[in-house]
Amino acid sequence: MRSIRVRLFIILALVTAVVWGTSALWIQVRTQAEIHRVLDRRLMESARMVSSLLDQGDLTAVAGAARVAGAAGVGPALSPAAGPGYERQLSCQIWSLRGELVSRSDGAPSERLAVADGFSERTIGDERWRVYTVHNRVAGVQVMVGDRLAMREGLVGSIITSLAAPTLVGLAALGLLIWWSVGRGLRPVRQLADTLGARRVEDLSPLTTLGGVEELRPMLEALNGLIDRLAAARRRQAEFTAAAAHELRTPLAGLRVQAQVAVNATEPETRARALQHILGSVDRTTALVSRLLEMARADEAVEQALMRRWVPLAELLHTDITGCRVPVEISQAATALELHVDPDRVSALFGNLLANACAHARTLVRIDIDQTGSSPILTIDDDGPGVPQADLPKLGRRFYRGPDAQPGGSGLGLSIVETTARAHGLAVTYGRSPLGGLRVTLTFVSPDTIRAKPKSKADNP
Amino acid sequence: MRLLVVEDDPVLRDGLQVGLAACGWTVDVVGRVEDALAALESSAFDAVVLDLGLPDGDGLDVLQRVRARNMDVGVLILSARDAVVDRIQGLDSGADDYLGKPFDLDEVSARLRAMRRRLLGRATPALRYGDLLLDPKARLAWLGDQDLPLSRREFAVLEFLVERPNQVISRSQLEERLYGWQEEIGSNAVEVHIHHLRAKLGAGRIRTVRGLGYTLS
Repeated sequence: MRSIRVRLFIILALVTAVVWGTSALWIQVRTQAEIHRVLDRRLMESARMVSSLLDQGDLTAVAGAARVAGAAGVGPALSPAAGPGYERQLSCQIWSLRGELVSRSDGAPSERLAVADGFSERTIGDERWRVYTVHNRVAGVQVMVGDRLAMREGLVGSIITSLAAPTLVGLAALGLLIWWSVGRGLRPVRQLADTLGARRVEDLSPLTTLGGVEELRPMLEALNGLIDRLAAARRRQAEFTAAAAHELRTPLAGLRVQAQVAVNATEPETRARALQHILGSVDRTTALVSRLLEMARADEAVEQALMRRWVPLAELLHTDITGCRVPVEISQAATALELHVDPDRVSALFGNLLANACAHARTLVRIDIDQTGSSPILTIDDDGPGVPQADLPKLGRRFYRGPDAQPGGSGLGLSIVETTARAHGLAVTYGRSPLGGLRVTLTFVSPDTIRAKPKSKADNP
Repeated sequence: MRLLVVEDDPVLRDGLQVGLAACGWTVDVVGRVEDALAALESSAFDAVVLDLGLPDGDGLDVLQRVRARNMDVGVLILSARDAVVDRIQGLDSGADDYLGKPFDLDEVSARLRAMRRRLLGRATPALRYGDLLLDPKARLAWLGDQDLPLSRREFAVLEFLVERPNQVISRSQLEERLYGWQEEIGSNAVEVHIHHLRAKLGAGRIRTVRGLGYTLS
């Protein structure tokens, strides 16, 4: 069901209808029983009254008694609407023991109302009668007082109808009230929706309103968590864009100046030289743009799932080693390892690190693994000039380029390495290598990303 | 006029060197804070074009040193950091002008000329001394109504003298203003230029103060 309001309304309306229906049914049953009881008692009392009149032996009173009994039904309590067209409710007959009708009230049928003493029911014509019969031995007569069951049912019906009318009005009013109350109860939800709807795109402050509504708090917290992550992602993006734009300005300025030199040049050599610079600069700027894209992807990758599988370390290093201008030494222990990583990303990571090491190394790059501690540590050493102690913390900062950096670098390589490493649960640190140059340390913070190659695989050529 | 360009990007540095030289500046270039400071200590420059993000420090360090030493040099910052706050910070640190990257080479040259004018307390772009008129932008000179055809160096010598009409300018001052580090200076190069100028202007215009240098008369 789409609307909570409709859903709640239907539930509440159904429950109310069931409760009210049950009580109405109960009231009907009870009213019916009570009316029957009261009317039965009236029959009995009327019959006894007539019988007691007969006890006095005044037979002239008999006819009057029967009429009185017939008139007794005109009780104001039972028939408030008595009028000219009023139909008597009670009928009285007095029969002699020989079976002659001695007297009867107005409107009473001439046929015998009952055949037995006490309460009985009988159908006369097409009407069903309820009758009480008193056997008066002194007067030698049977006094029968009866009423029609149809009248009784009509009485019950009118009571139920008079009860049902306000009930139906009440139900309608209740329905409206439920609808309104549910709407009112859901107001915090609507307020939250309004707050969210009215929010400007750039507003990523946490939601504070409605913090007091307990039921909404988990949702608010989840929303705030989402907003936080969004804000962080947007901040990263803005920083990246600003940094990228900034980094592109210098090469663009170079291109522009060289182009101007080429345009203004009077000597062909000057122009040729400027054009040569432009060509080189375009290539380097293209490389910078690729790096920026690579970094943007690495940033995105932090949020995305990695396609991890077990890959031998040597396989990840292979292409970079063959491209290195100095020999790369991999220790036996390191060769026997495999990593549970995303092969594309991690081989790019090693590519970056080895490219650095190979560019700065004088004669040697060495890769080793130290598994003595709780977290395995992979080291990449070179015997180049290294990085001054003071500059080590700056490595990995975006766009940071060392004082002796070779021209053409983007200052992004190690930053990309660190982002990829973080995504894989690896920590990158820098230090001085025993070989004299830079040592890059990869710590496998979660040891289940590294293991020895299975024997069968190692034996398999 | 002698100019020091401090810029670490090799392509931009080269472009500034070649381009500004074509605008008539004598240009020296360095790529690091350290080298810039050494250059400013050792030679006299009329202006510095300064990048801020340098590999071994911030260009503002160079600026602060220049101002602390009270060097008589105009500083134009050329930086990729061109937000308003950056420009305000640069100017308040003592820069005479601030341009964001990328920029137009001719604009840089024009701003450098304007900076020189302000530094020398002049409002008009043209330089005048008696009936001698110089246009530093077009690098043209007139004597009365006559065009005065001058070589680049001759113009530079004359411009330097006209800018400082009542001073005696030494030969080494002229040499420093005229030649960058890479340029070979003949031992009597300045004398040769003066000689040519006198031939074009008339003998009495440039007076030699024996043992000190030259001055206009």
